[in-house]
Amino acid sequence: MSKSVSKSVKPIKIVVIGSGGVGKSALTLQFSKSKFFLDYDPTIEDSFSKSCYIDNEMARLDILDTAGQEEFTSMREQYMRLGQAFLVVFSVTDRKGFEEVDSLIQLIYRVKDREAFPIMVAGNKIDLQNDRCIDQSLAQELVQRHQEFNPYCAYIETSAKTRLNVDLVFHDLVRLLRLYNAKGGSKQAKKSKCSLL
Amino acid sequence: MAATSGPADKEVPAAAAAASAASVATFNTSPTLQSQEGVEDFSAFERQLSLSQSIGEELRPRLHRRNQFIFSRKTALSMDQCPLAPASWSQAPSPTPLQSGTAMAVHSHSGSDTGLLLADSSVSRIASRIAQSMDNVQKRRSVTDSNHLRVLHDSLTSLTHRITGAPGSQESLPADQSAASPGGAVASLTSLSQPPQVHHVKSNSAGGRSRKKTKDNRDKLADCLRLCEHSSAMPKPDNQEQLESLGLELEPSWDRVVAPENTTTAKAVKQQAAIWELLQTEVNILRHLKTIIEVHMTVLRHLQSSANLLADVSSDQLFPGILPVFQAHRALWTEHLQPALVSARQSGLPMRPTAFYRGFTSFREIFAPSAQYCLRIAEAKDYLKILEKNEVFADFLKWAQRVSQRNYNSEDGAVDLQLGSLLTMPLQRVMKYGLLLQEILRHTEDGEERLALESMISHVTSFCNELNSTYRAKCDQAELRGVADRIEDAKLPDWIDGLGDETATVLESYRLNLMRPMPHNGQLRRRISEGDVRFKDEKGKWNDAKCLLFTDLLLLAKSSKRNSLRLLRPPLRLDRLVLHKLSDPNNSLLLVALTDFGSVDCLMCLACDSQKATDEWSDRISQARILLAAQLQQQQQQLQQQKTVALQPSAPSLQPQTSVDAVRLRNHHQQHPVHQQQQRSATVAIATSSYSTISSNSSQQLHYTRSSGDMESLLTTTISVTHHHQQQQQHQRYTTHLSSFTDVEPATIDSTGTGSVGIAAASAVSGVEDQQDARRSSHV
Repeated sequence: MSKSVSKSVKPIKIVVIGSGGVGKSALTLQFSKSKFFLDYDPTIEDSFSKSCYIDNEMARLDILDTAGQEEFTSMREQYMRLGQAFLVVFSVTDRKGFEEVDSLIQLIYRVKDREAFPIMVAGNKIDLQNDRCIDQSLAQELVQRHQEFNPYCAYIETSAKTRLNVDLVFHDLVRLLRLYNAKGGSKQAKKSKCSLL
Repeated sequence: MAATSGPADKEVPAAAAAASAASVATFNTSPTLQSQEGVEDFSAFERQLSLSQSIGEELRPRLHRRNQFIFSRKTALSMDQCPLAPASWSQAPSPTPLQSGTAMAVHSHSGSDTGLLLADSSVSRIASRIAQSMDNVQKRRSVTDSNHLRVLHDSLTSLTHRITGAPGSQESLPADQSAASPGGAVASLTSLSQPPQVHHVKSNSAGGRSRKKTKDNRDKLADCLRLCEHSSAMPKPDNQEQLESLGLELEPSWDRVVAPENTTTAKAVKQQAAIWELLQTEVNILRHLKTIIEVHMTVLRHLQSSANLLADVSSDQLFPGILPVFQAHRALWTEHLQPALVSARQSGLPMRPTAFYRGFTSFREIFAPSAQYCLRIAEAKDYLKILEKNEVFADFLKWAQRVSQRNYNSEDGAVDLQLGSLLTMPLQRVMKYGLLLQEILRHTEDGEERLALESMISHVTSFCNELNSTYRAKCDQAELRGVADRIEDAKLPDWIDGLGDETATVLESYRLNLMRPMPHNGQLRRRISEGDVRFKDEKGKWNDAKCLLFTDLLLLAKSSKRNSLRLLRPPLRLDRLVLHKLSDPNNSLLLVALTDFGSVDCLMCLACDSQKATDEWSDRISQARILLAAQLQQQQQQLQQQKTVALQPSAPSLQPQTSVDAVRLRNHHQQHPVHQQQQRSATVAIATSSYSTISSNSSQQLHYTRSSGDMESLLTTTISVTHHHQQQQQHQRYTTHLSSFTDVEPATIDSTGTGSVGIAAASAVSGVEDQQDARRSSHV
């Protein structure tokens, strides 16, 4: 079924970014595969395509997982340029990863040369409540700061392990993108700060 | 980096229309320019030229020079003062109004677009002349960029052929176009950026024609592709045997290969699964590469050669070095991974990570040839983006995506088979080995195996790190070039107007060139930051400006409509800069550039919108200063060492001849104090001229002979620059020469003829390097 439909739908390229070890691949894998892995969780996921109905409208999602590339910062812009929407993942058990979220979002604005862009921030690993060091309010605050000028930014808490909000995070991102496109997102004010990129 | 060529179909009509209005004109649009601005830009130029025609011949040289400025500033082709503009100008015949106008739009792929609109009855002469100039530029440019130029050159050559071969190039013109420029031939060259069917100038009436042509081509393509579709009729790639013999059929899971009784512990099970993931994903990447080569590249080439479809698509640009990438993965698979799998299949024993040891410890050797791909992939994808607008090409991509499915098992799930995604995969793959090996390590208990894995991981990551820094250097350079191309000196045109043509000629060689290596270590500077600031002018009024911080200097510029940067202040050397925070309500920042004597050389007062932004700038500048100071100190120490070595008579390196001469020179001075003055000036002249020659031109050998009067003392300085990369070394050597001069003459500047000329020329230099040189000369 999905095959015949997917041809007519323009794919949406979603790029998953975040620090190393926060669970980017885990989230992506959980979303891509319906089956669960009993004895082994794969480490990586090649970019893949998935079609699904979101708000009664078919969407084809091409998802690019950037695991393993965190260290190689110069290549970052390479794959970020591909993205039409971004999933910025951090782990609620890792302060360093959370601190990088802001700069990653800034980088998106810079690479896309936009002041607003569809960005979903996901606080992953909330199943590990005991190790949690990033409060929900802290993450909310960060996203609210961005929402002041980027209405297409939202925060959600996930757990790839328990599959909590895994589908929702991707679906919401598509909703943000649709909203963004409906408001003529691509024609929105270009970022004035840097005219070079 | 955004190497998107402008919308040619909009620009070209503008050019063509203007061609009819004035027969001599030049237009140039940067990629971001809309056609509107393009016209403005163009008409300003046109005015200038008609002015030149009415005023007369004497003004022309000056305007020409201005035009050169415009060209070398704005075109990516002319980073080193491309001879393109002057050459074509000198070819243009008399300034009398011509009946025929000829437009040529040249779209360079490397960044900005260059448009030339030339008046000449023989287009071919100009075209060949440009082609020649391209050759010259190409020789000077780096290897990576020369590829763009090569393609550009090729297309120019084909233009020449087309025009010389057929005066009937008018045929390709829509009727109204020919009428608008009577007797003129309009040839648009959109070699790279435009699909073939919009190859000629588009106008309203041309639209229908081009649409029809597109439709014809699309039909033709559909026919060809239908033929290709059957596997038997698929065009065969050159390396078909290699592609066929990969053995990509893999069992669905590792426990079909390894007997369950051989993996007893949970750890061992996970280890086998992790190894299986490595194999599985390697098979996937090989499938992707196979798809790119088989379905995209081979069929594209087949279409080009057999049906002359998509003839303008450069497969080398679209798939930059995909074959070396394939070879690398193939080598890793067939020589290292597959054997382990085969032996496990035979024995049923678990696969051992040590089996891959050789493969990953020689990772660099295997994957080094694929590095080029990773470095060029950004350009390839930009190119792809442009191509996707071509309907015929889009049809081809759609077909390829459908046919690609054959290379994948249906149970693999949906793979993102768009060419853009496929092209990104090899780059991503290289960076994922570390992660996969790490995962195997996590489930490995055996000490020996762990050691082997750690070593493998370190080999892989060091290769990736290297790739990362190479890529970064490349981006930095592109970024720097982007800025350098936009820089324009606000004062220089005024000086030229005020001081006359001779000065203009002299000053032209002293323009700020950011691409020139930094004087203190011969490396390329890097842009650290660029941002909007406000700055207080002499009258105490706040103005908007752009502040650009580089590794060794600071620029304050005003960005103009055309996205160019007009310098408001001469470049400020960071090591001569002092920073003061003022306590006024604006939180402004006072930057003072000091002279060698500690007095104020240049002054600026900056402020940003917020206190935070101001603080950021202040921090950034301070950090850059500290970094530069450290580098300078290091350089100083090195020089000191070299000087000590050079002054030892027995030292074999560093041209002992120089020090001997220096000593001889000193003796002469003591004997002939009368000639001291003369000699000094000559030394200064040599120092100045030779240094600027070196910095501007890496010529093979510079031979300076200086004789002064009856003394007949001869100092020969031979500096050989064999290769660009040696420039740093050479720089040091030269600095040593200068130091030896300084040893000879620790005097102040004199004002005799040659000396003053030398110094004046050097101090007029806006390039930092030469400024330093000027200062150094003044020490002599």
